[in-house]
Amino acid sequence: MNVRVRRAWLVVPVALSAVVAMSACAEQNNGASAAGKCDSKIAFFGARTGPNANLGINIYNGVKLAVDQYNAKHKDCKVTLESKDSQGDEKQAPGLAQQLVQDQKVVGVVGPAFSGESEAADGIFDQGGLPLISASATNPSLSQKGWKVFHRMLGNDNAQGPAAATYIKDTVKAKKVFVIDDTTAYGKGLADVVKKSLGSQVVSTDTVQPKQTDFQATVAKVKSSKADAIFYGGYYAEAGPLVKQLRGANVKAAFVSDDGVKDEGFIKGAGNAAAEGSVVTCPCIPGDEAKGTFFADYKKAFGKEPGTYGPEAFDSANVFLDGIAAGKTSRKDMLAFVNAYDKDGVTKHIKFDSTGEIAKSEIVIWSYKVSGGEIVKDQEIKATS
Amino acid sequence: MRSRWRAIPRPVRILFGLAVAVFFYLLPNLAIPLIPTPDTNFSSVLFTVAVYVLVGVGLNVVIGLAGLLDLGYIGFFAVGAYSVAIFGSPASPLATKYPWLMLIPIAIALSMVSGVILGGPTLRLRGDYLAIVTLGFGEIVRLIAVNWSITKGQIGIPSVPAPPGHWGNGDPVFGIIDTRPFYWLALTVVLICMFGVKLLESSRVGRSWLAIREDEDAAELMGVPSFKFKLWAFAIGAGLGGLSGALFASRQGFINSNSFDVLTSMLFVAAVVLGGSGNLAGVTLGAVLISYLPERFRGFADKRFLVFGIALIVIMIFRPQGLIPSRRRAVELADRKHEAAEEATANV
Repeated sequence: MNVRVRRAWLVVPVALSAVVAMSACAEQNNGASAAGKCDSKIAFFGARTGPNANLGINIYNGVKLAVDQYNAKHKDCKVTLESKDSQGDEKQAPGLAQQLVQDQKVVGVVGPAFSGESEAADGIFDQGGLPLISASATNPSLSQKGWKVFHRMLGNDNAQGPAAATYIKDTVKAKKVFVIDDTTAYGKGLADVVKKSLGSQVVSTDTVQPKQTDFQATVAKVKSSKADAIFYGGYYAEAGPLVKQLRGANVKAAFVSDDGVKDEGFIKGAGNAAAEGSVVTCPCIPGDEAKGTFFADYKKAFGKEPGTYGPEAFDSANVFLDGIAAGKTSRKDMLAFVNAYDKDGVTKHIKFDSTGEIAKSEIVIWSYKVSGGEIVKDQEIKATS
Repeated sequence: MRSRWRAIPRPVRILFGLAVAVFFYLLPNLAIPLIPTPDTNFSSVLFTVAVYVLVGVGLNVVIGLAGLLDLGYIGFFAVGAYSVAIFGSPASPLATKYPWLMLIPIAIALSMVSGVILGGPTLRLRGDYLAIVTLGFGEIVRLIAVNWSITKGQIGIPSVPAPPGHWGNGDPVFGIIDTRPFYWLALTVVLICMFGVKLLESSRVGRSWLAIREDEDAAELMGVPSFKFKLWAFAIGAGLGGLSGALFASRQGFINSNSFDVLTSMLFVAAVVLGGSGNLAGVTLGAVLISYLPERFRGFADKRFLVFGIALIVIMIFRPQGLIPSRRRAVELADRKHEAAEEATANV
């Protein structure tokens, strides 16, 4: 290679570094530009795909309905709905949360949907001062971390657990209870509360793993324990096959579970016959118990009845939308607005305490029953704590 | 292409390398169209990519250089991550008051020790057997993470410590809002480790590894203590895996047993094979692709992994040796083909 060509090569890195140095000055386009009054966004954060997506989709629909109704009323000043599909995965949650935090136009988040992803993402929302209302994450520890932005539209596991225990004692009239959890932040947390409330009535316990499909070991334990009721803390993806295998092994014990199982996916997983008679408790109200025109509106918009947490998500979104209508377009103002919120929603009277929990007197727990291949409302359980 | 690159004078190559490095340091600040991820924070994705590259570099030592098919590499990654979390998080019963800078060597040491413990008995096995045993190891680590009271399974360990340091205004340098410092840190670690592995590769140790990879019996006969070198490869690979796990945990701030599944372990191996086993540039590219593509194609939601999978298949069809095959490897394989052809004609 001759000298001239060699020299020419020298130019390449020099030119490259010059280009890089120049473009280094390019601004990142996430600066805190003054948010205009009419370009506010609220966000949904939760699973729209993945194994437990149905729960997230219900919430998304609730939020979407609220935003659509708002935009129909405020045609000249619309709100954008941002959606972050976390797949309910703790690994993906931080990156998505950061993206939301950096978009200053986002003034409120409905979610994260599950307790696990909340653990991973809520700290980021807190640092960004971005207020959030979860319509479904029920692990009690979430409100005890000192996160100022955290709010929860429903009773946590400390309310649901005793209610489930009350139901097992009073309605099922079980003497021996077998408690199973799925080791998740949510399922184990809830199962622990139920165990505590039931005390000596718990004859034995076992754990299963998320994504597990073969539950024969657990089934054998349940069978030998001769329990007359089973409480399962976890999500529907595992609960379905678990019940199927329990019934397949001729276990007749009543199956009581939680809001994570309150989804048609449970019946699909278990099969109609096995799922029949199973009971789930939920700090959510049945769609047709919601006040106002919510039930009809939802059915019209999505062609089906509102699912679990749909009404709660609708309420959560409306808190933020009310704030935007009142001109709260900065996160600081919005946070103060949410903290001071005191108004009726379709599910309950909405008022948060200093830790972001819904006021105790407003907590409602319902039980639902699988009947004829559908989950139908059963009764309201009086919260005991 | 490659011989042309080699013909360029050395100082120019070094300058070019530096320019590329500078480019990567500035990447999160540059607004290059189409490259940033639409849904996820870009510097956060870049950090993940850097961690995967580090994993690729470590796994390349084990698979690419020493030829040991390790399917349980995620185990070492997990050991590193949990070391930082267990000894660093105030929420853990075993929390020590050691600073973050102390936790990293601990994490590396623990994963290297676990590498030696695993390697001791299993490296006497070869090929498929080794693959199966290591696969089991990855699962053992995951099940310990799930069932041990200290690792807390799915509940996980929150408030994993981050590297120290504060900006002028009192905000932590390695905060959770701005991931760029994390990315720069990971990138620096990657560059240092790459340099180290490159040196190792061209040393006597590296040549011994290659000899073992190609024919262990022949290497042994020629006086290479193959077990010792294999164990070294395993330990060094484990150490790098532990380091990347430790970085991952520090950035994440919260880890639980979900993060260490078999699928991720397979993805690690895919990165090495896809990019070009035995070649640092290759595994880097492979790691970038497997960690970046799914985030880039986030918009496809349900079809995200389908798109990703098709991209992988297309690559494997057109580049069966990996995107950037190892030159030495390519020569060896060509040679082997040649031999086979000769044998075939001889048999006629």
